[in-house]
Amino acid sequence: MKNNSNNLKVFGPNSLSKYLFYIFRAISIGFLLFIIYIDLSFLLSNVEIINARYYISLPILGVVAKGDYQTNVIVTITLSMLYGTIFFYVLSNIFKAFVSETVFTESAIKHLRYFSFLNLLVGPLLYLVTHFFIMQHSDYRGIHNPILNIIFGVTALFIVHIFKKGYAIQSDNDLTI
Amino acid sequence: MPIIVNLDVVLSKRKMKSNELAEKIGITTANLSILKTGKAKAIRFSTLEAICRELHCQPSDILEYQE
Repeated sequence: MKNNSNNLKVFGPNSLSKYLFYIFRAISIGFLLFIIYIDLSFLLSNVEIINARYYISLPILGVVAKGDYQTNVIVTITLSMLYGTIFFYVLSNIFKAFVSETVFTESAIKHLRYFSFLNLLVGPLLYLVTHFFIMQHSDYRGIHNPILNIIFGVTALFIVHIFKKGYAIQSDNDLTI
Repeated sequence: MPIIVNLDVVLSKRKMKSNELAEKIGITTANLSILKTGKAKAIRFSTLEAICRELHCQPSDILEYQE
């Protein structure tokens, strides 16, 4: 493809990576604020309970969070949202590393490895713990989530190895005088 | 690596300083230092050609193979 300076760059300063970093970091912070607000609402009894269901009105958004008023439901929501917070935080860190002038960096490899680990181990483990142990379900509803996690994880693992090769080639190129 | 860079020897024979050579051949003093200390992974023909031109020497004066 012809290089056009008007096109948005994928890597480097003022690139698509920079905007994706801001988007994913904002989502991560949003998830964290949501957990804090929901859990504080339960702790401070700032929650409306009707027919064993809780209703928490969320400020600014003007929407109501609702669900069964049971400890296992609250713990599951907290753990899932916490996972979402970490997921988007790690994802934002990957794009932050891509903002650098050089694409193949140790930082990018490190964050891609974290993302791979998160998806391959933490995601499926969270599903097992919340679905079968905390919620005591015996069906496989929502099994697509850990499957998607594993697909993301394996893909990220391949990208880690591609980046390792790229880093080695780039290091050699930098030391070519 | 068994390839030895004898650039400092040739430089001292020609009584030329590293920064002077770096300026003449158009590379940074940092890169010339990498080359002199043997930390470089490779050398471009264009760089070698420029060094030989400025120091009036042959590539074999700069690079040496040791078992």
